[in-house]
Amino acid sequence: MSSHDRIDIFPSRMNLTIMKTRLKGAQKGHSLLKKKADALKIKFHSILKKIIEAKQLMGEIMKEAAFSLAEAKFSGGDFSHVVLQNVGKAQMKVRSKTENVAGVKLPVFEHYEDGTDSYELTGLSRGGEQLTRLKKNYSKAVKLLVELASLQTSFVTLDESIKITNRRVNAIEHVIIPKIERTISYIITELDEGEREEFFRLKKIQQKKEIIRAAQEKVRKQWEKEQEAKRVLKFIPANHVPSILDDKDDEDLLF
Amino acid sequence: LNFVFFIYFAVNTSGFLEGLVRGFKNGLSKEDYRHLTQCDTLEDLKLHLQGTGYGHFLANEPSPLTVSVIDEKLREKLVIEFEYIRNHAYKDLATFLDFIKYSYMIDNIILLITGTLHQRQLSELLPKCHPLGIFDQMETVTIASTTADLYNAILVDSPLAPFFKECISEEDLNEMNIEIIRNTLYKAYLEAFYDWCQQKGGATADVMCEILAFEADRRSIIITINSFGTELTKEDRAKLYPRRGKLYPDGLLELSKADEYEAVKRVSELYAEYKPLFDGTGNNPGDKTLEDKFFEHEVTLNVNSFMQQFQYGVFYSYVKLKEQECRNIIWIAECIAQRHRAKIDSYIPIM
Repeated sequence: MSSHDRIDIFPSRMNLTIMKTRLKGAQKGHSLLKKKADALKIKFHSILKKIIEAKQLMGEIMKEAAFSLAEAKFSGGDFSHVVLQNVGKAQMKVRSKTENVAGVKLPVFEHYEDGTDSYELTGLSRGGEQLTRLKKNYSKAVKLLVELASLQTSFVTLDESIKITNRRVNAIEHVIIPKIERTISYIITELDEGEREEFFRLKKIQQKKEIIRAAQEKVRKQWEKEQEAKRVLKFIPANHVPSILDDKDDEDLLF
Repeated sequence: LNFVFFIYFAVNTSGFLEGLVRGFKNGLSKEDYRHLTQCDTLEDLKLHLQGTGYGHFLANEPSPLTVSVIDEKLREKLVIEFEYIRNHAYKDLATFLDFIKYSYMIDNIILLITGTLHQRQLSELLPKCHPLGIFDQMETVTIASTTADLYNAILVDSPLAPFFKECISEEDLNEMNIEIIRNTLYKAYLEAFYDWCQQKGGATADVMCEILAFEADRRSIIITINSFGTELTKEDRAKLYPRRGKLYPDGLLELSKADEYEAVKRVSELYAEYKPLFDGTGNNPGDKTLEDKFFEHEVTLNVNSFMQQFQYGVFYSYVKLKEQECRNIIWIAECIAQRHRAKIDSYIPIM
């Protein structure tokens, strides 16, 4: 097994406990992230649904607004130039806030009206009614546009963060945890091997000791036998006629 | 006596121009309008218009055709015809035609004032002015940089000076809402026009004074209705009523006290001509609005003016009817372009 599949660490018992703790931590992190990814996905789907509704509504409202522009132009003549020239501050403005969803900060836009209607008197002498309707329709359209923009930015941000979270979940599941597990199994194998070596060493030493002891035992027996033989020899009587068959040393005959 | 008048009129070349105007007036018939409402695209519309008196006025436009291009070209045609008549007219008829031009000049001056007050350039503003309302001294108005200069420039150079002098002072230019300035000018213009026609006498006075009286009353009524719920006070509102209509003086007094639509309706119904206009109006879909009814009445008056000969009213009616026709064509074009055919028949028919 090549070393990059596991963490390089000295295989000792303490390191084993450390690795086991790490594994537990990784598993807990994995389940938490999975919960976060699921929560984000739920919010994602709900935003998607809202976007689809808003876009359909947008189509209808824009059509209505464009038609009311045509009606206003019919009754009131061409007021567009005067309106354009008179433009000063914006009457409808947008504020941005953040919304927190499962730890992810999503930007949200909301509109607010600033100041009074400076075009109250446009169309005073003709087309006034159509103009008020026109203003209402277009302000509805602008409000819907702001909402749609808000939904779309949160959609994009949410998409990013879901990708990131999923990436992390997968990384933990397929890389980190297996790596730690491999490390643990490596340490365990090493430890086992060490134990076996110890065992074998012990056995060998015992064997050797056994041999030495057996040899020593033999020597001792031999010595004992000799001792025995010497003792036996002392008890030999005088009238012991030496026979030629005794194997002892004859003295040499000298003439 | 009528015979003498006829010779006098005809000899003064107004007869030639009157004949010309009657020729120009033959616009779209009911059949033509029906064909137009049945078109499916703007190209179809263009094809149908080629068969009418409009001819090939859209011939050189690149496709795709848009409604704003049609609008521009229609207006151009009207301007060319009007300028032709104006260039051939002199003395009284010339003054009359100038009076017609003043209403467009008022719109242009308002545009220039707004633009100058917001420091826009002349080159930006000029193309947006209505071509019938262009007068020679328009550039001097925009060179002015302060409101004092502006006021003096207008007073000195433009033909609208008398209308300004009557009712608007220099401070007003700065403080008054631009719409109020516009309506004040228009009131002065209407009153001056009415007085000139009345002093001219004869058939012109008969025809024009009736038309202008209706215009004055219509403005008073519409201004009153549109001013409900705005910051316009009743006194300021009363200052905008032109004092030449049938509603003057009693009706205008009542109108200036009115607080809601019902009150306005009550006052107007006291006058026989205006009662039928208020019947049958409403805000439900399918109902005609009050403005639509006013448009219809105006069209009727203008068409009737062609029944009388040897009077200048025909020129005024020709301009107004042609404008209404342009508006109708543009309305039909918009309904086709936006595929919103529900209200395509809401144009004002011109018999």
